[in-house]
Amino acid sequence: MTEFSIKWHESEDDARITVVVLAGSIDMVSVDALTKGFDSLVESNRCFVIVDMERVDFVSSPAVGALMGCRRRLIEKKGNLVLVGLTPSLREKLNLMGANRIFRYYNDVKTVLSDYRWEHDNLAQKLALQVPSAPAYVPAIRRLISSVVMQKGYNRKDAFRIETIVDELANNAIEHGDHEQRKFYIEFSLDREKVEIAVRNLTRNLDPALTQRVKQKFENPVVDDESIRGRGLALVKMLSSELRLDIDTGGTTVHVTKVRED
Amino acid sequence: MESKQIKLEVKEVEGRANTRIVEFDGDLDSTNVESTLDKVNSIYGEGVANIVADFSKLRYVNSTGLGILLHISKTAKVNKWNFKIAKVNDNVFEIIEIIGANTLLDIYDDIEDALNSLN
Repeated sequence: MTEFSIKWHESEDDARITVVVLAGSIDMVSVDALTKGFDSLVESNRCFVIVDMERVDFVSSPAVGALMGCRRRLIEKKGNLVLVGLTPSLREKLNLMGANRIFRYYNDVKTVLSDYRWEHDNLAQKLALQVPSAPAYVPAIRRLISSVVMQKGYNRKDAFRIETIVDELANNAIEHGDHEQRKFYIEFSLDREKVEIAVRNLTRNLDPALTQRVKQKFENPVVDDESIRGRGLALVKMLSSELRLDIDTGGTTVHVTKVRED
Repeated sequence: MESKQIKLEVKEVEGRANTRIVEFDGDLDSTNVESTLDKVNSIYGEGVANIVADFSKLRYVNSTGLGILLHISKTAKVNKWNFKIAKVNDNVFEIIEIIGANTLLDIYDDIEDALNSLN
C-alpha cells in the first residue's frame, strides 16, 4: 500500500483549476487534511477542483462522504469537483457508495479541461459538412446535429427544434439547389447560449428578379392552406431567433441563429 | 412497399368494422410521405371509413409530413370519411401548433376519445 499523500497545484493548462493529487489510503484521518485544504481553496475562491485518484488504493465510506461535502461547498460557490483516474475496482467501490450519482468521472485531466472550457469560455466549435443533394441523407444529418446538441447539454425540446430547423433548411437546399452541382453545405456551431446553422446550396447566377423573389419568400413565408409545400420556411422562421439570407453569384446561404431556451 | 424509418401498423377495432387504428412508428418526413400516403389511401380503398392515427410512437414530423397529414385530412372530409389523430407527443404537437395545423387536424388526447367521437 502506498503511503497517503496529498498534493495541491494549480493546473498548468488553466490557472482557474486546482488539481489535487491523492495517493494511498483515504480514511478519516487523511480526509481531515483534505477538508482543511478545501477550506483554504474555498476561502481563496478557487472553486474548480480535479481530484486525481490514480494512485489511490482505498477510500473509506466516510471519506467519500467528506468528499461529497467538499463538492457541495464548491457547487454553492458555482464551482465543481470531479474525479479523474479511477481504476475499475475503485470505480466499482465508489459506485456502491453512490458516488457516481454525485461525481462526474473522467479518464484524464485533458478531457476535464476541454469540458470546462466549453462550459465557461463560450468557445464555439464548428461542424462543417458537404452533403450530396439527396433527400435520403437528411434524416441522418438532422439526427447527427440533434445528438451533438444534446450531448452538449441542451435539452430535448431545444434539440428537437434545432433538428427541425436543420431538416427544413436541408430539404430546401436540395430542392432549390442547382441540380447539376449535386451537393449542398451545412455549417453548424454552438456554444452555451445559442446555435448557428448555415445551409448553402449552389446555384447558377440568379437573375435580379429571381433573387428578389427568393428574398421575398424568406422574408415573408406564406403558408397556403391548400398547398402541401411551402410550410418549411415559415416553420424555420418561427423557430429561429434570427434568419438571414445571403445570395451571391455562386449560391444561396441561409443563416439561422437559435438561442437556447431552457 | 416498406417505408424508410416509419412503420405503419394497422389494427382492427372491436365492434367497429369500418374503422382502423393506424399506429405511426418512427419519423414522418420527406423520405417517406409518399409511401405513407399510399398506405393510407389503400386502407380507405378497402372500404374503411374511419382511421384513427395513433401517434404515440411518432417521434418526429417535418413540414412535408404535416402537409401530407393535412392532405389526408382534407381528402377524408371530401369523401365523408374520418381521419383522426391521437396521442401526439409534446414536441410534435409544438410543430403542429407553430404551423397552425392544430385547428385543421382532428386531434385527440386518447384513442378512446377519438373513437368515441365517431359515434
